[in-house]
Amino acid sequence: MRQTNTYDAWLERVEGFGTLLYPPDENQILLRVDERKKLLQLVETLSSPRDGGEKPFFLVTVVANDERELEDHCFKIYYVFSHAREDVFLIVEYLLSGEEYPSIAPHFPAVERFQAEMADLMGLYPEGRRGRGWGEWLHTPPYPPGFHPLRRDVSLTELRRRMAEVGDRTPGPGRDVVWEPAEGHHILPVGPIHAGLIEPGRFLFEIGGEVIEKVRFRLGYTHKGVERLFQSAYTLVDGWRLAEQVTGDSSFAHSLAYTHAVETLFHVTVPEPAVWMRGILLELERVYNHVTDMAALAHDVALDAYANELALQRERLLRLNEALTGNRFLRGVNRVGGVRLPRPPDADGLRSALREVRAAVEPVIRTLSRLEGFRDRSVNTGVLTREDALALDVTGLVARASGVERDYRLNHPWGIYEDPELRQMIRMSDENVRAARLPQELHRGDVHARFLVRAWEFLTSTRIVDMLLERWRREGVSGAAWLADVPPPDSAADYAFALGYAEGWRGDIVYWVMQDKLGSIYRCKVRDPSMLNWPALVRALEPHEHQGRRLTTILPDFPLINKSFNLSYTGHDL
Amino acid sequence: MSVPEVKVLVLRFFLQGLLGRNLYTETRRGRPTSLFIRHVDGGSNVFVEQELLSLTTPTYDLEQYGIRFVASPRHADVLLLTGPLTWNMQGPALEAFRAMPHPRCIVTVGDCADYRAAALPSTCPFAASYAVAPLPEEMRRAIAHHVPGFSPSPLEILRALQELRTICSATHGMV
Repeated sequence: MRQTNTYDAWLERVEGFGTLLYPPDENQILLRVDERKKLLQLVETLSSPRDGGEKPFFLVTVVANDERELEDHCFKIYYVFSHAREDVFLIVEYLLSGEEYPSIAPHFPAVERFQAEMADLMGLYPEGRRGRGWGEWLHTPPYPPGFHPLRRDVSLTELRRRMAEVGDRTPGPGRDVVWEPAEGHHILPVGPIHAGLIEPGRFLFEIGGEVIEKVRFRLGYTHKGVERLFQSAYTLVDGWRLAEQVTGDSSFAHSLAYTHAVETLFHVTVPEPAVWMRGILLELERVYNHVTDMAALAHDVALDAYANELALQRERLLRLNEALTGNRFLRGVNRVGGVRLPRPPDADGLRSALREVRAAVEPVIRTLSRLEGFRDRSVNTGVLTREDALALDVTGLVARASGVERDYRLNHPWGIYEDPELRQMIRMSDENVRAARLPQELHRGDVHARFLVRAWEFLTSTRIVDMLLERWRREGVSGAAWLADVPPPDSAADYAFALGYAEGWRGDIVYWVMQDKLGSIYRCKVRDPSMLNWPALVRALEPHEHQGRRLTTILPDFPLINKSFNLSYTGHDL
Repeated sequence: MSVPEVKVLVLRFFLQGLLGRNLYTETRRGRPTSLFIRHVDGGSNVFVEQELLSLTTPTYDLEQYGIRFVASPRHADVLLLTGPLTWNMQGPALEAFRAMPHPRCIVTVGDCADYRAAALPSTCPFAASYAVAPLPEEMRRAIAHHVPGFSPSPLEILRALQELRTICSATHGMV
């Protein structure tokens, strides 16, 4: 699915900044840059609006890689950008001369999170900011200084031994970065353990009365060392086992993104039934998560009658998942090269059950979307403006609710989404929304818009699954496993890398996988959409200007806004 | 010591006991049928959290059994810990445990949180990681129950909690 014009135009445009290399896939441009000045000029080109439009490229992920033992003998940083409209990725391979690199934050502020991650896990720092103010992923205490787990010159056993040495110390609470509040304001710390059934993270609110004036968050509490485990304990073929453990609510999307990367590396073509089944499973994951979130939003505004109805349907969806895959969260079915189900799927049964769920959910979300009691709390609450969403490279449903058309199923389609008819169904165009009989308020960036985008995606995803199951029956697919032969790893492709991606319910999940000798993993960078969207939550909470008005948020609305984003902590901390 | 002095001493101890006790938990102890749970995510990957969420939905309706999730460890009888415990969460988890009133106990849910057995990579993929910490000794001693599974179904968790309620009402296994 290569858009020749855009691809060639950008190929010419970036050529002068470095050396073009052979890219891992045909929709990608790989550019090697080793001069500091050239890199900064390049990112300026990528972020400045062209032809009266908006900025042409979004930052997707940043991969720091320890290649000191490979032919270039240095650390490298791979910046992955995606074109805002067309199916083009630009991968910039930047060679570091030491442990410091020029920051691209003035052009892509989203890089700040990745910089903090690289400082802790790889020991690479932006110029002049070495050693100060880091320690979010690896808190101090108890992590000792100079502990950089992703460097390849230290073994996992050695890392464990060093941690066991500090293990006898009494653990301390994390260190807060506190600032001086303004006159009459005070600082309210919350977390890391919260009141509800949620994951750990610490928030500091500066509040004046009940208005939130400033927010800073500190995550990293659930850091489990997943990326190091990929390279030390898994091979390319069985890495999906760990990928689906990264975050429990997107287990299928994570394993899909992982297998996509490995299949690109191995040049495997997946059999057609497996492609359809992957589409079905990916959409089912979206459906159950959206129903969960809509129930939680209704619960947070004290409309429990609606919340309970949605929660009942959520349980039905989880049981459908179990009937299909043997696991309530769609675990253990996706493989490199295809899908293996425990038993042949009952397409008709699934189809009718899903129709019943849809019939039960549809009236609830239609009522909720127009209900005064719900609108009262959600309209104009936690507004993320389109400008902010663009500037922060926000992705997924949060971006779509702010009017940014960013959906990997449309922008970078593969698998079932190569079908233009299906893409037409997903597009959140005015006539589509009107046909779905939802209010035309999906782009306003508030809690209500994020609810409506979920409602819209619930309706379209159930339709997609229905369509695929119909096709399934028509084609008379049989069996329970559809797997392509996976060739033994090609040693000529050692240290080659590939990009894998899938649009999970939260947004695009991107894996960057580099092959090592004997089919093991040299480096696997996992990028959950939460990594890009956490700064957007802060922007939505702090006072800001929108259409000439100053918007503020009161502290009691924080749980509702947080829920409407529903970002992953473990996906961010890994 | 004279008799009046002893009387004053006894009275003082009695008053101290009356005023100093934690009224909230003490009065609730009179009802052995309820169980208040404080959930702490030790760094899990939310499979268990999702099932705990399922327990609060009308399908399972945890509260009909007198079991409920509370907002503060100071209100809780039981600390429900999911794992693995990361180094970054070791401190906060211990702090939450120390804030709980006596008697108290810990229930661990999911294979990654099986702190009494040596965690193996075959049961918990994170067992081999540098980031996974041991459970502090004083918390390990308070473990009353473990729900195995990867991840356990809502019914399995529910049965374990009901069983735990029986254990806790007799205050066996609580420290």
